[in-house]
Parts: sequence; C-alpha cells; structure tokens
Amino acid sequence: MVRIPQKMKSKKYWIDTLWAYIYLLPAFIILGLFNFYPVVKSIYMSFFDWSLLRQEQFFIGFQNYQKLMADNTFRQAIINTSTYVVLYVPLTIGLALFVAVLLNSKIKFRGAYRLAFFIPWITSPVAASMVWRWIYNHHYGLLNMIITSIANNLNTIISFLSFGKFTDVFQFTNINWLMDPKWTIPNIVMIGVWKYMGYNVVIFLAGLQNVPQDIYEAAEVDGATSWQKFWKVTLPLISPTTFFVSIISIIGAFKLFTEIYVLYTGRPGPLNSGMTIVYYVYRMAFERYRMGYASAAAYILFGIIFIFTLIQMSAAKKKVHYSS
Amino acid sequence: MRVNKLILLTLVFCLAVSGQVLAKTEVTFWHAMSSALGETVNELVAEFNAQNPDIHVEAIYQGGYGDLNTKLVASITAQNSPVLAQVYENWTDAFIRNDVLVPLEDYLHLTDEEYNDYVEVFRNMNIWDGKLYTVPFNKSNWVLFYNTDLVPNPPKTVDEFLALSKKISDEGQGDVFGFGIRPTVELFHAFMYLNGGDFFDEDLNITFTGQEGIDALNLMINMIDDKSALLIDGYESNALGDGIIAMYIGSSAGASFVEAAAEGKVNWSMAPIPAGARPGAPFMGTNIALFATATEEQREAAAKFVKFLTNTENTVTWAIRTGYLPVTYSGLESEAWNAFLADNPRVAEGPGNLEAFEYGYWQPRVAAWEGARSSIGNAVEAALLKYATPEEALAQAALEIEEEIALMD
Amino acid sequence: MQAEPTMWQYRFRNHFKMGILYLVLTIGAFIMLMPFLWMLSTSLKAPNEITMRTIKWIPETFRWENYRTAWNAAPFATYFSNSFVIAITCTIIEVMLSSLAAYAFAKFDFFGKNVLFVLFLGTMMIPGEVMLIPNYLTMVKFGWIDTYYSLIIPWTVSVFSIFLLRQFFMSIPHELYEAAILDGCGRFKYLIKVMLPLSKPALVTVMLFKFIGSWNAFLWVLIMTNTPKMRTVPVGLTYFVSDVGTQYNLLMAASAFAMAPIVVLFLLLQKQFIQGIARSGLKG
Repeated sequence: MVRIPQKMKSKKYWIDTLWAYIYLLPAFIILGLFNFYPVVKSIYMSFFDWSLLRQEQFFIGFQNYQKLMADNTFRQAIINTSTYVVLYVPLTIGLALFVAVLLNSKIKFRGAYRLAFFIPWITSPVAASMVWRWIYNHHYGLLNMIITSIANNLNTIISFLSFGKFTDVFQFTNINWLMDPKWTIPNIVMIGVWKYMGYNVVIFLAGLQNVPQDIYEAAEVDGATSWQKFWKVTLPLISPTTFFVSIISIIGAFKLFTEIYVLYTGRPGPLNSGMTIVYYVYRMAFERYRMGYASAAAYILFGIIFIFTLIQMSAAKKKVHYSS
Repeated sequence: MRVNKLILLTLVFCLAVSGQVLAKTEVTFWHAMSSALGETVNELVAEFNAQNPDIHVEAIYQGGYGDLNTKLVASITAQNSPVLAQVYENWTDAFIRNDVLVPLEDYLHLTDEEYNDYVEVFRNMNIWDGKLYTVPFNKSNWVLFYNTDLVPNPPKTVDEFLALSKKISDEGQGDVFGFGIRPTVELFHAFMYLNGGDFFDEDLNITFTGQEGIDALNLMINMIDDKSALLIDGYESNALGDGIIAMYIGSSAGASFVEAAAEGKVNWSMAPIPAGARPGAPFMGTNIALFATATEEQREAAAKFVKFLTNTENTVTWAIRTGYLPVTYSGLESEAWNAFLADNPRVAEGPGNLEAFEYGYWQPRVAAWEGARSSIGNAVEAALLKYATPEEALAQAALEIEEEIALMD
Repeated sequence: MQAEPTMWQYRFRNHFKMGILYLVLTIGAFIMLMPFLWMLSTSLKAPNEITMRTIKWIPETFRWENYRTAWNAAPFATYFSNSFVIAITCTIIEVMLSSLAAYAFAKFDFFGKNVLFVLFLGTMMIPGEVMLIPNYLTMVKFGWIDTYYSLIIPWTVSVFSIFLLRQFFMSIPHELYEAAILDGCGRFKYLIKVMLPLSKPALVTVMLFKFIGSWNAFLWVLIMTNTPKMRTVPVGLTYFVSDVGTQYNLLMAASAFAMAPIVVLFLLLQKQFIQGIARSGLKG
C-alpha cells in the first residue's frame, strides 16, 4: 500500500494546491502553447525522417540518434561545447561576483561604472564582433600589439637589471588568433565573459541587496576583515542568487551559437573548431533542412543540460540558504 | 430589423473588399536586397504595378541570404510560401527535388529569340530537367581587383600573376603584399578551375582530389610561404583599400565596398581573372524562382513581372544602379549599357568584359553542395594553415562528403 | 602580538585600498567599454577611414551625417515605434505573470511543485532553433503572422524571470508569510503588499532583462512578420551588411541609436537596484 504523506491529508495543502495552480495558469497556458507543445512535437519528430521541404514524413525509430552517435562532427561539437562550458562558467561567475561586490560598495561614480560593465551586453553583436575581429587580427590586431609591447618592455627591464646580460628573454611572434583552431574556444570564452559580465553583475547586484546592512555592521564590530565578511556573510547570504546564476550560465553556455556564428561570419571557426551542438542543430535544420535529425541533436543537448541541472539542484539543497 | 441591416451592411462591405482584392492578382516577391539595391527593386516594382493595374506585386525584404533561406524554409513547411523569391542554385536543386517550385519557363511564354537572349552562362545556371526553371536576376562575376599604382598592367596569365605578386611583395618589404588570400572554397575553386579541374564531374563523382586540386592548394600555400601573398581573414576590399595588398580575386558585386575603402587612398581597377591552363570566370548571384503554392493567375502574373524585370531596359537599369550585370545579350549590347561602360572603364575591363562570359563557370548546383562546401572549406583551411598536406586534406574532405551522402540516405 | 594601528596607519591603509579598488574598476570598465567606444568612433568616420592597419580613435572630421544617412536607410521610425510597443507590452505583462507564477513556486506547498518547476526549467534547455518551425506553424494556424500577437504573446512568460523572482521570494522569511496569512491577510494581498515591494531589485532586473530581450529579438521577428510595418529595430540593422561587404560606419551609427533607449532605461533603473535595502528591520 502506498503511504500518503501526512501533509497530503491536510485541507490546507489542497487549498494551497488549488491556489498555486490558479497563479500558475496564465504562465502555464503560454508556455504550453509556445514551449511545451513544440518541444513535445519535436521530440516526437526526432524519430522521423523529417525534411522541412517535404509534406510527408517517415517514421524511422532511433535511426536519427544512431546516425548522430556515428557522426564525428557531432562528437566534436559535444567536445567543443563542453570545453566552452568548463572554461566559461567558473570564469564568468567568479569575475561577475567580484565586480558586483566592488560595485556594491560605497564608491564615487558608481552609476557610471555600472553602466560601463553593462554596456557590452547591449552592444549590437555584429558591431561588437567587428571590433573583436580587429582586436584578434593577426597583423594589426590590438591583442598582439599589447602582448608584443609587454614582452618588449619586460625585455628592456630585464636587460637593464641584468646589465645587458639577458636580452630578448621573451620572444613573441604574432598569434593568428582567428585562424588557429586551438584559439577558437578561448576567443569565444573571452567574448562570452566580456559580453555577459553586465548581465551577471546586474543579477548579483540585485542579490546583494538581500544582504541586510546590519549583519555587516555587526561583523565589523566583531573586527571582521573585508575578506572574512565576504566569505562568512556575503557568500552564504547570496547563495540563492549564485545558484541561479550558475544554473542560467550553464544552460546558456551549453547553448553557445550566436557568438561563434557572428565572430566567424557564418562559419563554425577554422576546421570546425567552433562547431557547437546548437551550431550543428542550426546547420542541420536550416542549411540541410533535416529537422528530424536536428531535433534529435537538440534532445541529446537537452539530456546533457538536464543532468547537469539536476546535479546542481540536488547539490543546492545542502548549500543554498534561502532565509536566515 | 437592426440586426438584419447590420448583416446587410457587412455583406456589402465584404463584397466590396473582396471585389477589390479579386480585381488584382497579388504577387509576393521575397528578396535579400537591402539599402540602395532594395530601393531599386521597389522602384521597378512600382513601375510594373503602374503599368499593370490588374496585378499587384509586393516586394518584401527578408534580411540577408541566410535569413531569406530560413524564412523560405519555414514558409514551405507551412505551405504559405511567397509567389516569387530570390534563390541560389543549390537551394533551387533542393526545392525542385521536393516539388516546391514550378518551372518559370512554362509561364514565361518565351519566343526562341527571347529565350536565347538570356546570356548563355546564366541560362545554363538556371536549367533543370531541360527547362529554364528559374530566371537569372542579380548576377556578378569574379574578377581581379588591383591597385593601379602598384599594378600598371593587370597580369593576363597565372605565371605573370605569380611573378608580379612576388615582385610587389619583395619591394613591399612586409608592408605591402602582392596578393591577398582568404582561405575560401571559392578561391580554391578559381585556381583549380584555371588548372583545368573542378569539384565534380558530370555524374557528380568527386574530382577535386585530383592533381589540379592539389596543385591549386600548393599554389596558394607557396604564395603564402614565399610571402607573395598575405593570408587574411576579413573582407579583402579593406586590405586593398588600405594598400596592404595589391591584388585580390573576388566578386564584382564588392566594387562599391572597394571604392568606399580605397577612396582618396589608393587607385584601383578590375580585370578578368588571369588565365591558367585554361581561362575561367566564376559567375555568382541569385535567380528568381516561382513557387508551386501560387495559383494559375498568380503564376502568369509572376512570370509577367519576371519578364519585366529582365527586359532589356530594366536589366540594364538594374545593372547600372546596383553593380550587377545585365542578364541578356540585348542588355549587354544596349546603348545605355555601353554608354555606362564608356564612363566606367573599370567595369568595362573587369566584370563587363564580354570575353569572360564565354568561359564562365559556376558553383556546383546540387542540394548536397551546402554540406560538401563546408568539408572542402575545412580542407582548404587545413592545407593553408599546414595542419595537413593538400593531398591529405582533400582526401579527408572527399571521405567526409561520401560519409555524409551515405548518412543522408 | 599585533599593535593597534594608529589613526594615520588606518587612514593610509584605507586610502590605499580605495585606490586599488578604483584602479581595478577603471581598468575593467575601460576594457568593457573599448568595443563600444570603437563603435562610436567608427560611426563618425568616412568609409575610407575604417582601416585595420593603424588604430585611429578620432575621426578626421566628425561625420554626424552618418547618423542621418543610417536613419534614412531603413524605415527606422516605424521600427522604433514597433520596438517600443512590443518591448513595453511584453515587459508589463511578463512581470505580472512571472510574479504570480514565482509566488506560487516560492511560497505555496502544493502537489506536483517540484515536477512542474523542473518542467518549466526544462524549456530553457531546448535551443530555440528547434522550436522556431513548430511555433511558426502554430502562428500560421492562429492567423497571427504579421500581427503584434505573434510578437508579444509568446514572450509574455519567461522561465528566467519566474526562476529569478522565485529565488528572491524564497529569501523573504517564511514566518512572515505564515503570520500574515494567520492574521487573515489574503494570499494575493500579501503578494502585492509585501512580496513585490520587498523584491524591487529583482523586479527591476526582470523588467530590464525582458525589455532588452524583446528589443534585440531578431530572427523571431523576421520569421513571424512579412511587412516592414510590423518589424523592429534589429531588422533595420541588417540593411548595412551584405555578403560582399559591410557599410561599417553606417552600421555602427545605426547600432548606436538602436541601443540608446536601453542605455537610458538602464540609467533610469540602476538607482532602483539599491533601493531594496530597508529590509533589515524585517528580520525578526
């Protein structure tokens, strides 16, 4: 016999349930029409040979999934996407939290600084990518120029300090950032961190408003350093926000596509080094018209993200404190 | 009483509205022509509508070619495609295989004279199953852009071209390069074609792994290695305008961008691509297709519009205003076009050079090209960036293409 | 044994710390802003000044007319008014619907709560690319192509907002809720009177994000509309890009005026981020 949990016997529980469903109804209808329905439909269609140009479709069972598993490009897409997630997520969360804490302190021109960190996110991607292409340019790019000048300055200093014994310690030849496949993902990580900094900072700033000022004051009276305050007060109290940002960032990072498409002007980087799962989905759906196959690829991505999110959520049960 | 009156009024109103709609045949035309190009399309459309009170053509800008493609695919799925749209040849092939298009030829009612007036190379690009399925619209060809200060006489042969590139680079001492290479499939195609090769033979067997292909990659690699050419990753027009490179091979449609980048900095012109073992001029650009969802009236009206767009007067107006090429012989021979050429020696020597029309070629026109193209693109990059030898890179691409074809079936 | 820092040492240390803080922030801000500044500089240049070879931040002459040329290149007046209508409507409806849903998830203990929440979250994990075609078919069926409906209604709920608000609602002490309900305060009244005012920073964030998302939407707008009358600002930005070249100066000018409303909105809202602090007194 199934044991009914105690709370299910209370009348209040079912009244709450009723109210909850009423509150959720509008959201549920809209999500239902424009999210759940297309999702269910495309899961179903991932078992079909579904060409976008054809009206009739053929059931083929798991063949789309089998073909995906056999496709080297798809395998590379999974590897590239995972590399991006691993590099991007900790970096973006760490830096955004750091900046948000700085911007939350009582400083002058706070509004101007906030705007500066926020602007990359709203800069038109096409405009931003033009600038990034210039920064990464092999011959005339800013990045190579900066590295060269740092190397030269260090060489001068070392040469000076060693009375000319050591010259040209740092040799640097211009890196071809945009054409060297091994730099593709790091390039995109840099752009991603730059672009979403403002996005994450805004969320963290909102979260930091949840930390009551009097706790800081109490900690100060106890002689806590800024560092201690951060670890002992700020971090635990904004854990709901951190949890949120990490879930959103991981989901977003796994869906990487636009940044690559725009930076490499409609190509997945040199030698497919920027081929990601969503890029693959896009290519299969809209360039090859193979929607069933593309849907199958999308659900493999969904599976990966879903597992990650469940792990995070169960970890969060222990680590995230909602109210003090 | 009042209700009846209301119904009556509604009926009258509906009749009046539908009467108006019925009177005109609606023809939607989806295109990717922005800014000045789009304005020219709109003007031509307005003129056509004024001349044909029973037809209403509506030209709608649908973003860049990629966006237009996505939009077409969505509309095909929903069976509400436009009547006419700009299409590339490999889209056409995919569309025809799925019975999405109807041949424009069936509705154009062309006389033999009119049929043969379409420039042969453009006609051949648009024939499927022996029929002129689509009609050439915004066509351009690839030419040699060159800095006239550094290149007084454009090279006529590949050998001259190589020697000149080397000479300019040597004199440029790392500041100026003879040639600009972007690792694209099209540039590889151009050199391979000059060597006498191509991607596929007539039965669509892979031939790019042959010696002509390997030699083409080696030519590009050698140019980069001995510094006669600079490997670039942006638009070549900017590099030419900056005086970094003295020559590049690219679409004549980019001339306005070269002009914008070069103005007041370097002098430039255009010439046909130098000849190798054989001459060759790639022709590019899109065509106009007629969709099967259109009614008979719409098809007839649409064909009338297409005929109007490509008549002698309009194809020349279009070419002069946009930098594309007239698509008919009568257009190329017309007074207006020749007066334009006389005023624009660059166009006369480069894209307008009639010789190039004789040995024009084009990108593969098959649906599978989209996939094959990315494999070949990777091969070109791999070879140029020295991740593989040309032989290995091309063999890998051939393998991928065969695998993909196997996966597709 | 550590000696107590003297007043002077203390102040010096403090100044030093603040100095570092400003330095870090200023360098960071500069890196963040550089592409934007380059965009502004390019928007004022002549086409032949846009070069990769040398870095030129200040144009020879400031060509303000680029802005007028760009404005006239596409029907931007229509695009702007559409963008405003769509973004504002979406934002208002979305904040209301998301608050309701987030409130249910945060404060009610109800049947199927976790399953529903995961289901909601799941929709974020599907790339929009696979939903585009099915949604397009739905829109055709509804007859919503080329109407505001297709541009607004599907975007009036976002799981992102529901999730963010839920996180904030959850950190408002639950005892407060229970006490209020016991005192006979209705659920809805509690949401309006207590939850929302206390979550102002989160609400402002949600509104800002929705407005931006809606303002920048491109592919959806292009697919769901067929006439310039219904289109929005990002569609206008494609006018300057082609496969053979890009009119960079005009593109940058258009991008600059396209993002201006968001900058203004941010400046208006950013003070609100820090006005939720009167909270401390509530903790019992």
